[in-house]
Amino acid sequence: MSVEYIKTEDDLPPVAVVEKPRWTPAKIVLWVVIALIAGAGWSMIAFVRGEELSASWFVAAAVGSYLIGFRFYAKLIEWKICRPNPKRATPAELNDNGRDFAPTDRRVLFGHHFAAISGAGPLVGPILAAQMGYLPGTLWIVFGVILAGGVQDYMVLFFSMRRNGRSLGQMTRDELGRTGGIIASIGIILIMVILIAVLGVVIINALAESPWGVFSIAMTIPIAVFMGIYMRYLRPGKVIETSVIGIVLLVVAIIAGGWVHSSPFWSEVFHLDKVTLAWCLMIYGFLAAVLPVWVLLAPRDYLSTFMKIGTIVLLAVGILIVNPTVQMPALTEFAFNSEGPAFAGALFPFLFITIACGALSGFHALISSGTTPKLIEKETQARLIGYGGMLMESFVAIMALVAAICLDKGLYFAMNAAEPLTGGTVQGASDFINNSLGMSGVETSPEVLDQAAKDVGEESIVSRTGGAPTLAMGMAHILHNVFGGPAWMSFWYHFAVMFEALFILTTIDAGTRVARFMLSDALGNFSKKFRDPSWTPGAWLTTAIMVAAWGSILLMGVTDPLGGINTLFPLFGISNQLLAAIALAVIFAIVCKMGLAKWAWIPGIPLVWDLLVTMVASWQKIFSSDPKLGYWAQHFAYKDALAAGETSMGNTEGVEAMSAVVRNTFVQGTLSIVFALLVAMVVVMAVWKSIQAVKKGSLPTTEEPLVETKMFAPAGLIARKPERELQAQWDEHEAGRQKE
Amino acid sequence: MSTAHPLSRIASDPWGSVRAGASWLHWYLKEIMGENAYLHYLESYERRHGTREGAMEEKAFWRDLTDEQDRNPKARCC
Repeated sequence: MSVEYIKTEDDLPPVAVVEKPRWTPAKIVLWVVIALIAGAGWSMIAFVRGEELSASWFVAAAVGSYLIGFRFYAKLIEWKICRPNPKRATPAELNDNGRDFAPTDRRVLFGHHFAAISGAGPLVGPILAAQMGYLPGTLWIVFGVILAGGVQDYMVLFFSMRRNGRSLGQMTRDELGRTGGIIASIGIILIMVILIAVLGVVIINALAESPWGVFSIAMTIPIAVFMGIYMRYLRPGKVIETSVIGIVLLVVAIIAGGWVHSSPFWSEVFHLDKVTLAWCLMIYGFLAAVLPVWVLLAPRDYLSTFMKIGTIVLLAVGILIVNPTVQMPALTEFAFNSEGPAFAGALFPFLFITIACGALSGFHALISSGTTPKLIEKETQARLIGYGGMLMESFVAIMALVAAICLDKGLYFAMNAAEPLTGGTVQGASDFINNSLGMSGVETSPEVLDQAAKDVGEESIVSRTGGAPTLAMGMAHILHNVFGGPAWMSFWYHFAVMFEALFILTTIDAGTRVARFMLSDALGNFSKKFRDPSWTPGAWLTTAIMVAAWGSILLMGVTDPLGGINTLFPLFGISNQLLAAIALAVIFAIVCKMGLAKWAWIPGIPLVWDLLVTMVASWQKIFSSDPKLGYWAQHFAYKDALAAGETSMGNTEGVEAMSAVVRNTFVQGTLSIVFALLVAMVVVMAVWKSIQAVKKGSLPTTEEPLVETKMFAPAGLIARKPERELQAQWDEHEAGRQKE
Repeated sequence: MSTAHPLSRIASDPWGSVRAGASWLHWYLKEIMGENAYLHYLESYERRHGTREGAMEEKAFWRDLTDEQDRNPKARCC
C-alpha cells in the first residue's frame, strides 16, 4: 500500500491522504466471501421452486450485490468520470454561511440525504409489483439501483457540486441552452403535481372508511402545532426533547384510535368517504403551504425523520428475527399477461414504471442537485452519499417487497384488486379471487377476509389498493411476532399507516411549497411582484393554483369508476422516470462535453433503458387499442358507448360514471402526451449537444474554477488508519491555533 | 480521535467501547435531528469572522432557521 499526502498550504497539515490500495490475500478472500453470499442468495431466489423460501435470502442477495456494486462499479465511475480532486474546495467550504452552505460530517449528511430522498415511494411500488411474483421486482430493484439509480444520484450530485450546487433546472439551462431549461422546468412542475396527486390517492385509499386511521392522522396536526409552539416559544433548539414528546403523543393517538374505532358515536364522526378526505387534504395542503413553516411543516419534518429511522430499523430487525416464509411464487401469470389486478400492463415496460423509487427515481435528481451538494465537505465523499444513499433506499424497497410477498396470496389480491372487481365486499372479493382472478393456487373465503380485517381493527380490508395498507398489513404480520403478540397486530397496522401518512403529508406540503415557488418564479417573468415571496396575495394565489392542479387530479383519482390507483399509478411512475430521463440526458451531455465520450456508456445504459421503458409505456398508454391499457382506447370506447345510448359498460354502471371515465381518460391521455413530448425534446437537445462535443473532442462546460481546500475530512464512511492519523494532526493543529 | 485500529480498541477496553458507542449514537441522533444546528452555526460564524461576537443569540437563531425555510423551501422526495 502506498500512501501519498496532499498539501495545499505550507502552514497547514495535509488536506488529504491518497492510498493506492493493493490486493492482499485477506482482501481477496473477503470479496470472494461477499460474492459467494450474494451468489447463494440469488441462486435460492432464482432457482428454488416448490419449497419454502425464507426472507433472509433476499437480504443476502441484495446486500451482497450492493457491496459489490459500491466497491467496483461506483469506484469505476469515480476513477473514470468524476475524478474527485482532493485539492479542490467544495461549495460547502467556499460559501460556508452556516446554513444551506455548510460543511457537514459525511455520516450525518448521508443520513440527511437518505431522509430527503426516501419516503413513501420505495414502500409502495414494490408492493404493487409483487403481483408479478417476487423475482422480477427483486431483480429490477437490485440491478436497477446498481446500474441506474445509484449512477444517476451519484453523478448528478457530483456535477452539481462542481457547479456550486446548482439545481437540475439551472444545470439543464447551462448545458443545453435556454429552451432546454424552460422545457425541463415546465416538466419538473407538471411532474411534481402528478406526484403529489398520486401520493394523495395512496393515503386516501388507506384512510377512507377507517375511523381509526383518520382519527390518528388527524391528531398529528394538533400534535405538530403543539410541537411548533413548544419549540418556538418554550424550548427553542430542543429538537430531540420535542420529537420524543411528539412521538409519545403519536403513540397515544394510535392507541386512542382504537377507542374511537370501538365507540359507535366517534367512529361515525371519523368515518369519512374518499371525496370528503380529498377535500380535507386539499384544504390542509393549502394551509400547510401558506402558514409559516414553524407552525406545521418544521415540527412534522422532525416527527417524520424520527419515525423514518425508527420504522426502517424496526422492519429490518423484524425481518431478520422472524425470517418469514415467502408465499408468493417467483413468477405469477401476471408477469406474462397484462391482466394483473393491482396495476394494468405487462412486465415490460410496466414493472420498471411501477417500481421507480428504490431502483431509479428521477425525483432524487432534485435533491442530489441543489440541496445536498452544498453540504459536502470533500469531493471524495460524493460516492458514499450519492451512490450509497441510493443503495440504502433500494434496501428499503427490498424490505417492502418482502413484507408483501410473505402475506397470504388471497389476502394480497383481495386488498389490491380494485373495487369494481370485488364489489368492495368480502363475498365479492372471495368470489373474484376463487373464480376469476386468473392465477392458479390462490384462494380465500369471506371468513378469512373478515378475520383479517378484525385482526387489524378495520371494518374491511377488501380493495384497499395503493400499496400502503398492504405494507401495513405485512408489517403487522411480521412485527407482532417480535413485539406484543397477536393482540398488537392492530397497533402495528395503524402504526404503519400512520408513518406512511406522515411521509406523504410531509411530501405534499413541502412539494406544494416548492411548486408554488417555482410557479412564482415563472410568473415573475411577466410581473416582477411575484418574485417577492413575502407578497401575500401572490403567495396565496400561486399556492391556490398548485393545490387546484394536484387537487383536481386527486379528486379524479379517488372518484375514478375504474379504481383510480391502477390507472393513475402508471402515470406517476412514467412521470418520475421521465424526470430521470431528463437528469440522465443532462449527465450524458456533460460527460461528452468533458471529452469522456468513451465512458458515456455509464450514464448511457440507464438513459437508453429508461427511455425505452418510458417511451414504450407512454406509447402503449397513448396508442394501445386495448381499453384496459390505452387511455385513449378507453376514452373512445366509453364515448362511443355513451353515444350509442348505453348506460353501462364492463363494471361501470350508469351514465354519470361512464362520463367520468371519458373525462378522466382524456386528462390522463393528454398528460401522457405532454410528458413524453417534453422529455423527448430535452433528450434530443442533449444528444445534439453530445454529438457536437464528440465531433470537437470536448466542449467547455460550466464547472466552477478550482479553489484549493484548507480543510481535511475522511472520504469513506469509516475513516482509514492514515486518515485517523491525519485527523489527529488536524486536531492538534486546531488546539494549537486555539491557544494562540 | 484515536489512531489505533477500531477492533483492537474494542478488545482492550470493551466497557469503554460500549460507553463510547452509546455516546456516539447520542451524538449521531442529535446531528441527524438537527439539534446541533446552533452549535454548527457558531462554529461557522467563528470561521468566517474570527470571533463569535455579533452572532445571533440562540433563540433568534432558531426563529431564523424556520423563517429561512419559509423563504427558501426544500423538496422532500417520494
